[in-house]
Amino acid sequence: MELGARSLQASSKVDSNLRGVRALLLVGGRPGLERFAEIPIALLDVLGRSILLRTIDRLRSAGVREIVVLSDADPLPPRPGSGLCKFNVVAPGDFWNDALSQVRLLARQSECVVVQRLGSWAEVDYAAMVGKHRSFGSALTQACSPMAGPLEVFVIASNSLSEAAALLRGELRDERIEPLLYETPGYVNAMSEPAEMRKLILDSFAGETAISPWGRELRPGVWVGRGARIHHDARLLAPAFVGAFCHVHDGAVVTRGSSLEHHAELDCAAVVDNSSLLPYTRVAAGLDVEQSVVGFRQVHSLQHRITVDVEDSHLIGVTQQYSMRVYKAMAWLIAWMPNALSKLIFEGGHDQAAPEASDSSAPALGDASLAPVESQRKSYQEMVTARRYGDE
Amino acid sequence: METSRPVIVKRVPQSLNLRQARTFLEEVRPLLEHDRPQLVFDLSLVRRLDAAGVEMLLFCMQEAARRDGDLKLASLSPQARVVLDLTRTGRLFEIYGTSAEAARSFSGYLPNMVRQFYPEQEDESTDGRNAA
Repeated sequence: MELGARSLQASSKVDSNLRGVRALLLVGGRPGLERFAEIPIALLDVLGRSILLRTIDRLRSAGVREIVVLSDADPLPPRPGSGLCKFNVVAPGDFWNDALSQVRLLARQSECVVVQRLGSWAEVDYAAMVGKHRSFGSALTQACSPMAGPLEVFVIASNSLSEAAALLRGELRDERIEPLLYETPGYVNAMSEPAEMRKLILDSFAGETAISPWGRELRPGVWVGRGARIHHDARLLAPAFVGAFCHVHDGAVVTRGSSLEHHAELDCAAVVDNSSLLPYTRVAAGLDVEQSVVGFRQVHSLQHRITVDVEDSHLIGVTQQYSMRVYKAMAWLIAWMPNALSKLIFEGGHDQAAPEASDSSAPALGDASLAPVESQRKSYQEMVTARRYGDE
Repeated sequence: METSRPVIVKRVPQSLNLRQARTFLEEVRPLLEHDRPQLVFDLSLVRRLDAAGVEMLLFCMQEAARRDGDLKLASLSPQARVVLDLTRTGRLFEIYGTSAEAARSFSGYLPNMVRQFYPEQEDESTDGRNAA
């Protein structure tokens, strides 16, 4: 009880310390690097939650209230909620200019701005870093690690926008800038390639990082996310993680620190050994995934250090849930298009509320919106029926 | 007693999907129908290999085995290696680093084909044998 009160006091102290601090998280900015299947590794799930969301969690728990994310790629669903942060997707060519504009905007309302590029997973104590920045009256403070050297985590004073401009125009790599260094003892992983992502997962299983698997610990060392279906003849050998809505079939084996991210499916007698399955990945029956990161129809072999495209869905595919989302989106679009087109033609296209009216939550809007919803639902049902017969 | 039956080294095309696997199978089928065929498939060019390609390799091995012959794989590209590991079929084949090594493995004596294409290796192996 006393311990709880003490930790509460500590957290409230941290909250008040970082109330005037804003944060800008940069995802990407280096085309072709730190990606898997063209997706920045920071947006891929690591034990149930992406590096981006985990970093947002850390910033919020440190007391940073306003967080803006700038990414050069769309995040995988689920998109970070608007309550957590403002998420902006920008063109790769405009990335650093937009980052500078965002820093200028944030600096107007705050005492200092934390700028962090992901990439890497760095367990920085933001409160301590901002504390050092304040006590030295520094214009620019950079985190560094005894093992990994300088990190791409900065605190920029609001009245030092020229330093911010130089820093961001140099894509955070301008060696002429000499910031105040803050040494962090926390865990750091560069996450520049899939092998480092696997290392982060294994280190997290070993308890060397602050990352905890996003699920319930079913038995020691085995975590399972919500809605996961695991056949009673499947074997999960600790440490292992099975994410939300995963499906592990009869005779499948998950072993040696493997992780299955959300909606992954492991068919009968397939083995996942010291590997990671990314979201919506389906591994066909009898396959042996060993020392690999698998997802989005690609296999990255850690042993051979090569990424191979596997276009054959009989081997590596995409799970039904992901396909269903695509079909649902298509059905919604097909149902919405005629209404939108007729409105555009007959009403001059001034009705901006058309997408809302076609939303499935429309009954709450009143009786007038029920008719189009019904027609859409009918056309969607027809489409599903057509697909079923088509498959047969 | 081993004879000097030829070892045939066949280079597998870059992509081995259903259509190309069928075409390739038609090419190698006459070779498989010999008595005790000795085949080496060189997979150094393979960039895409799917389930149909793997099935074709297994079919060739089965056909060769039925006639008391053997099929060995050589010079696997990393892509081919990954897919064979994934499908657990890599362990069913004898796999060698080079086609010459694979051909040599069929016999203590170098077959004519290898002697023709790799005379320097023939000399080395003869020297080694003389030294021993």
